[in-house]
Amino acid sequence: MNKLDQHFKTTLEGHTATPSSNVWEKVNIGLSEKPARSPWRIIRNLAPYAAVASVVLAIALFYPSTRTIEVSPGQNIALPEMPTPIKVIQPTENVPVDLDLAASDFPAPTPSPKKIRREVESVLELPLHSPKQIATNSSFESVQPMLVYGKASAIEYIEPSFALVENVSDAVGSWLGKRARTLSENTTDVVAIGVVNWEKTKHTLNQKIATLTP
Amino acid sequence: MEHLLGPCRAGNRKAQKALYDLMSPVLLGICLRYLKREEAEEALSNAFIKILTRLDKYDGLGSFEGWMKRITVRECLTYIRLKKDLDQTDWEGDLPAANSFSSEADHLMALIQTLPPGYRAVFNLFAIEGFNHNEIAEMLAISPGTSKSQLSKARKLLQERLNNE
Repeated sequence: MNKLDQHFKTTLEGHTATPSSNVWEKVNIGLSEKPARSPWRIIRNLAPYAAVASVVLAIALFYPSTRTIEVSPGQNIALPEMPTPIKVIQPTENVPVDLDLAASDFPAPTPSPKKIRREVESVLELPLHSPKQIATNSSFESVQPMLVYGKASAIEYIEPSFALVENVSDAVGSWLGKRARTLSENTTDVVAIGVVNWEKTKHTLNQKIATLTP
Repeated sequence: MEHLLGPCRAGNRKAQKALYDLMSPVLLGICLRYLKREEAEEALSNAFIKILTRLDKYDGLGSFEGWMKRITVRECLTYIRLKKDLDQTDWEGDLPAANSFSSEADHLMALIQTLPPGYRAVFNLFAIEGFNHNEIAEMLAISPGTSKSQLSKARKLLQERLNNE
């Protein structure tokens, strides 16, 4: 602090001034008013409700288009949205799941999705006899995003998105990616996981099963 | 003054008025170092409302007067920031002749009020309140370098005015 600073400090530090009479009136009015709630406090109070609403919205957006099918011995699985007919392919053993496929492995893309026939009836209640079974739909021709994951011995789970789409949208792809990561973290024996095109998967699985079937 | 704390916290308006009568001249003196008279009185009323509505936040560790002064200084700085006056570098008004003031304090107060708002704020905070440049930078949302530069310019302007009188 230099001399100038010191001069101002010592002279002005105790300086006082008498306020106008209306200053207290303002203070008096201000004290009588109900304190205004700050925007930040309002946002902070609403945050939990917004979070719950976001979760509900997310579930409402994605739940109707997704199902998990877990196949276990002797269990019947219901595929209410799957178009008919459903063909059960029963691999013999040790079917590897290779989702890293070359374009030449697949048939040419199908044209726009055909109208799905809702002939579900009895075929939806499929008696399954082994945990190594997978359900496929041979007549399904549209592009459908699928999440397929399996154990070392065979494909055991197929989690299809029943929303028929030409292309997997970013939102669906993002959700499936998160689901895949969750599964791989929670299920230690999962060896293959991925988001695939239903037609491509069916084609590839049939090819692989064909090579393993005597 | 401390004896007024309890009744003021309880919302006793007479006690609040007594505290105001006691402290408002001191706090207005602070406001006038940063702001023009009209603005200073507005800042004082806002500061006093905050003081009287936040008495429960005074922890009693430091002096009560110091706590009130800090609230007042921050209210003045808020006022300056809201007006976006910190970037002004022009002198504000003419300074009356030195011999027209009744006291040296009035003379220096008038001199300080002719400084551009940003320079005035930095000079007050550094020279009178005793804050360092890092603290000033944080309070005024400027860099420490800007604080140093504005202090230097404020000193130079004040010195020139004093020398010319």
